[in-house]
Amino acid sequence: MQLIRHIILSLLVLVTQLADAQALIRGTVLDAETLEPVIGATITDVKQGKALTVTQADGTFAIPKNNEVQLRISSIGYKTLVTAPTADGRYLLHAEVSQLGEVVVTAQENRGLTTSSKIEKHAMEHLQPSSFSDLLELIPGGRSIDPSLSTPNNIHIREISTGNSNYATSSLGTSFIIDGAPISTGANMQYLAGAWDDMATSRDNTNAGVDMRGISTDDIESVEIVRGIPSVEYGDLTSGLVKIERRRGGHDLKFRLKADMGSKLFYAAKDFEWEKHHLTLNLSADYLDAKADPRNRLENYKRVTFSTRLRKNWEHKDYSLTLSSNIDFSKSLDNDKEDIDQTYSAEDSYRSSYNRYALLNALQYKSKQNSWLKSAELTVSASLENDLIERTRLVQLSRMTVAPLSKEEGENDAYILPFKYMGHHEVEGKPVNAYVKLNARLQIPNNRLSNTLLLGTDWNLDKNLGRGQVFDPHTPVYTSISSRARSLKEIPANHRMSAYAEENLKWPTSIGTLEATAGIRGTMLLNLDNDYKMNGKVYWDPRVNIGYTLPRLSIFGKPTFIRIAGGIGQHTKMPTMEQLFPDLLYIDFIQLNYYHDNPDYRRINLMTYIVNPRNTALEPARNLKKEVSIDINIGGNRLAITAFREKMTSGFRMQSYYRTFQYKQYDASGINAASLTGQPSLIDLPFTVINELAGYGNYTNGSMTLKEGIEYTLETKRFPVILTRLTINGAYFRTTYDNSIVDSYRPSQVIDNRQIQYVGLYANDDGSVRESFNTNFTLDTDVPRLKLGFSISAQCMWFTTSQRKEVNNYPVQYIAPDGSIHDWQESDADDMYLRWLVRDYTPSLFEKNRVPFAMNVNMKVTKKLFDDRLHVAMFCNKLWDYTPDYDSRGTTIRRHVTPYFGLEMNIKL
Amino acid sequence: MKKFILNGIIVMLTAAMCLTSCSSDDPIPVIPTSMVTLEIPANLENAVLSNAVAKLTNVQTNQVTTVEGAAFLKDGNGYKIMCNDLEAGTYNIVVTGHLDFTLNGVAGQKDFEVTSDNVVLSETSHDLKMVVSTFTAQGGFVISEIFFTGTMSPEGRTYSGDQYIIITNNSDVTLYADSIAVLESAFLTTTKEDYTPDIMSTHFSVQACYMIPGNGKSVPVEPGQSLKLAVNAINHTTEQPNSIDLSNADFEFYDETSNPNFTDPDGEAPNLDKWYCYTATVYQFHSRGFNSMAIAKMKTGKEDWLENYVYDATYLFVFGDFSREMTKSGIYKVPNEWILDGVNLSVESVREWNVLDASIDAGWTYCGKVDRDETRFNKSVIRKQDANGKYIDTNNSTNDFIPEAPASLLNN
Repeated sequence: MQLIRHIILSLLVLVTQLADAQALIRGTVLDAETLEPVIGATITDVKQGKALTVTQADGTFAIPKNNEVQLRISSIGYKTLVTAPTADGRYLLHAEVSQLGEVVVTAQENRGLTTSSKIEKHAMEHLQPSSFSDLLELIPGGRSIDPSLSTPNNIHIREISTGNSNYATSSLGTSFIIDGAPISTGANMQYLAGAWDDMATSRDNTNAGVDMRGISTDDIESVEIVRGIPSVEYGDLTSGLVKIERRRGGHDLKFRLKADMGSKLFYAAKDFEWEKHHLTLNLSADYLDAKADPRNRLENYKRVTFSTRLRKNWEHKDYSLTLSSNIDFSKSLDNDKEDIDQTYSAEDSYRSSYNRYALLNALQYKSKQNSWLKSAELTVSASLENDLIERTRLVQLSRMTVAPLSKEEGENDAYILPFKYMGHHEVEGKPVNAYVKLNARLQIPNNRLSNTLLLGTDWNLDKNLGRGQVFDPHTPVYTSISSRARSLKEIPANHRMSAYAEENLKWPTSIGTLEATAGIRGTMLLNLDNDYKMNGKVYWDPRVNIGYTLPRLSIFGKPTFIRIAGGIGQHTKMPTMEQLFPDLLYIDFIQLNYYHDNPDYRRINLMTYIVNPRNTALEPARNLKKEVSIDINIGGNRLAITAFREKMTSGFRMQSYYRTFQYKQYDASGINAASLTGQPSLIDLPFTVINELAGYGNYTNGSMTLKEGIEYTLETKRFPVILTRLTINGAYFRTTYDNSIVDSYRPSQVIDNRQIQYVGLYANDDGSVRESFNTNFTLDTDVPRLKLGFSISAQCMWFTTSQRKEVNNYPVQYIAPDGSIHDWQESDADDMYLRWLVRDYTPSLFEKNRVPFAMNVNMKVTKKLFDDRLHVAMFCNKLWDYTPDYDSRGTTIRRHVTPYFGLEMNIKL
Repeated sequence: MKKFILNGIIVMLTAAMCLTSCSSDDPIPVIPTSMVTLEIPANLENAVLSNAVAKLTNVQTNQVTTVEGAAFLKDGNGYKIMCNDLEAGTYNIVVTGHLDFTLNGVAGQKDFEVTSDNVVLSETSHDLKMVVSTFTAQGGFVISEIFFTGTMSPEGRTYSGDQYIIITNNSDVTLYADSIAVLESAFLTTTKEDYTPDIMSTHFSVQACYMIPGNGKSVPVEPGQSLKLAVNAINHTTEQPNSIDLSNADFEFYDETSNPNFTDPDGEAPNLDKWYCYTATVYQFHSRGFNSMAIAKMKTGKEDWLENYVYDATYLFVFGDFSREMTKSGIYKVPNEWILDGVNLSVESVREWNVLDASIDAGWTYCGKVDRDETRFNKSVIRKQDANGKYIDTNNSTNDFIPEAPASLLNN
């Protein structure tokens, strides 16, 4: 809190400060094509050859008034402008390599210091996506993948994912920000406790981040996918940042109709703009209906979104104010039903609905004066979700099964379930998120370098008001459920508070331009109990990006710019509500299992223990990123190569632990079934006290993810005559997963009427290394005369490899039934019971598996008709492929590829 | 047969001549020692005779000589009955007794009575051989039925708690079922692997071993009688009307556990002794019949078997783009000599091999011709019977079994 107070105080001081009011000439330097400010342009006095100043982050400069001066305005990448100053003049610089009118249908590497891919509207129109997932094809390392909309889609940046939920921190730690407001998944508790069936488990997205299926792409103006080190302005992430900006203004009435092999999409939007009032309003709606298999109507995914976006701008002599207001609603529905003809039961169904209402208000202040405070921004967003999973199943048991009912620890009788009943289980979640962010950009006047100081703070609240797991324990869908119903309201709200400061510099010199972004972000969780290790602890994320641009060169007579950049940054992702406050575990032991022909005389007596799997030592997941990159631009042909290394040693992981529990084992053999007149009494029954090991899961920071690799993008200029542009992008990724925590395992074999009573402890289990190397060659042709766009993309996967980390078959230690831990002795491998702790892994399991070259060729065509009012497009992915058979340890592996195609129509009125 | 009759006539004529030649006036000579050799079926091992009585009735005088106990002397696989000071003459001889023995390692017992009429004993012909031929002691315990498919509820849900296996004493002696174990193969008949070492010719690799408990002679099974071993020995029809009442089963595969997720109802029937099982969940037979089953006489103690009859195998696993040297460690094994009967089960569309040695079962049987055949429910594999009601056992279940037979305990 001390820190925040300091920041606010210094902000106030700076706001009130104004530069001294001596006679000055002000001007703004803009890019002639984009009208965006040119930052760090050098303003030189031609006569004296003396550098006067540099332009600031908003392109402005101020020089002492001098009527005779001739100015030379120069900036790398632009043609130098020599002109006489005018009061409040706008100076337009022309890029050395014109991008005017260029239609870009691929992702472009960001020109800033942060390694990121920028995807613009044109690229999306050409790609024809159904959801955000489809856009990831465009980033280095991406490939076209058939949409799979029946299960959640998670993002994996710079990673070859295994799908193992113990390494999901990477997708959990990728932040999605839409128009400035993050999508919070911190209070997502939508999982069916006790579920074992694919219907439910394959759709569980808790602790895995944003489900990209729910993000519609049609309103998007541009997306920036930050793969490298983002500004400290963005927090609560480890692996990446997705910044989505949606369209504002315009006058169109638009419709889009898309159909592909698995889905149909309909989109309608109306854009309003009242230029005079500086007011825009955008309304849109879309509907997506996707089926896992077009022949199966019972399993589908539906999405509906509505969006209202209003922006009002007030222009004042000294400042401008912009208010942006969004109201969004999105609904998605996963449906899965068993076929009545196959199961005789129409009631077997899974239904998961997700309804999100989001409200955003952002107020931006921009100063037009020469004050230190250049801009300030207040963002307030709130979202409310109403999520419901409903699972209904006709349960027909194959044997007597019990349902523990007791919510207390101790001895109790279990309920014996009927053999046939209709099971119903609901999960109701109502995550509420509130987010407030206050930002200020300051400029300390300096004639040598352009600089911006960013100061800000944000506060995030996650709370869940849902009822959580709701089921009648007398009719459970999942009889092996180990948790009991609990209202999510009882879980304390998660408060996260951050503050950050970042300095942005651009220093043009005669030997090149130096750019740097250096910042630090502090984050802490509030409202945590004292026993949590994180309580009161601030986690600091320092992040630095530095770039050096060589002076203009000339190669083959073409203007050439080379930039070398590097960065290092720490990233912190706080645990989710489920990880901090997991459900209590109820561990039950059968003390008496008495069966009688008369159901009223049956008795199952249990000993119930309650284990709180809350891990107070849990800490945030932290990822340290390092990268270096080179960006070469020769006459508009651009090559960008980035080498990176990201190491996250504290990823979240569910780890199992074993503990000894005690219960009575009653001997029912003495009960005379014939003479019973009711349930047998426990009072006179002989018993023995048994020690038993039982396991339970607990969240730890045991998962390590190491991402290494090289990303590259080569974009050429559009070749004249053939009107074609070549983009080559791809990546080599090497992802290493490892577990730093001892894993435990209890064999399930039964020896002499009892399950093996020992638990083995194994070091560094569950690791793997995966590699992939791909290149996409995209040739896109744009024929303006025919209004025809055409692209062919050859997507080559040179190889992929996977290799499990070698683990020892022998445990390092083992736990005996009484809970004592013993070191493993070599001779234990011959023990009748302990021999089962030796696992079956063979060395060949740890050999590297290599899948050789494969190539798919995708084709996309777009055509504009009727004065651009009708726009038709089609795509065919994997139209042609080269996937040769290969040999794997004497086995011939054949690969098959099926094309995927779709088409769409856009109408603009 | 003709020869037999002819011989009989000759014997009778000779006897008649003797009778006429002997004058009643002659003094009757006394034979100091006569010996009756009692031959018992050669396939009985460790035969022990008890309550043995030999009654020799002199046809002329009606004098009865009874010989018991100490007079029966063990001789090789048979007995010698020594009778002293018999008067020469014609005798009707009856030997009764009780035999305890082992038959193919299984304890058995049988009362017998053999007679020999009009036997002339004289000073020169005082020895005679009698053969226990009232039983042959052929055959032994066989698996007469395996019901592994389960039933289907009226709503179409499968129900497998009513699985059972029936073993029958197919011999003509009473046999004891104690320490006979039901074995389930460790390997699937639908997944062939080249295991190293390959022990199939000498041992059966098992993943479950449930033994009938007893002190050795606790569970007698009369000839032709059966034992019903139920996965759950309860009346299933109260919960699942299409199922079976197994509350009268002889034994139950009971899985004792402290985990309420795997509660196994413990019916009235005595529980099998669970020596080993691959899983701590509830045990049941593979409901499509991918595992072979066998019964074996466990010829060693539990401790010894658990400690010493286990081995590790390696094999090359191939699946899709994956081919790996694999280890399957901890496979229990039972010597083939211990096995009384075995049946390979499989499904035609996915069958790859037999997992029992051909000397135990050279064929295989099934319920369902394709994998997950929905028509397999309510069906069993049942051993065929011959005209006399004996089960046919040629060690080839393709010939010996009726596949897809209606389960015998279901009210079809």
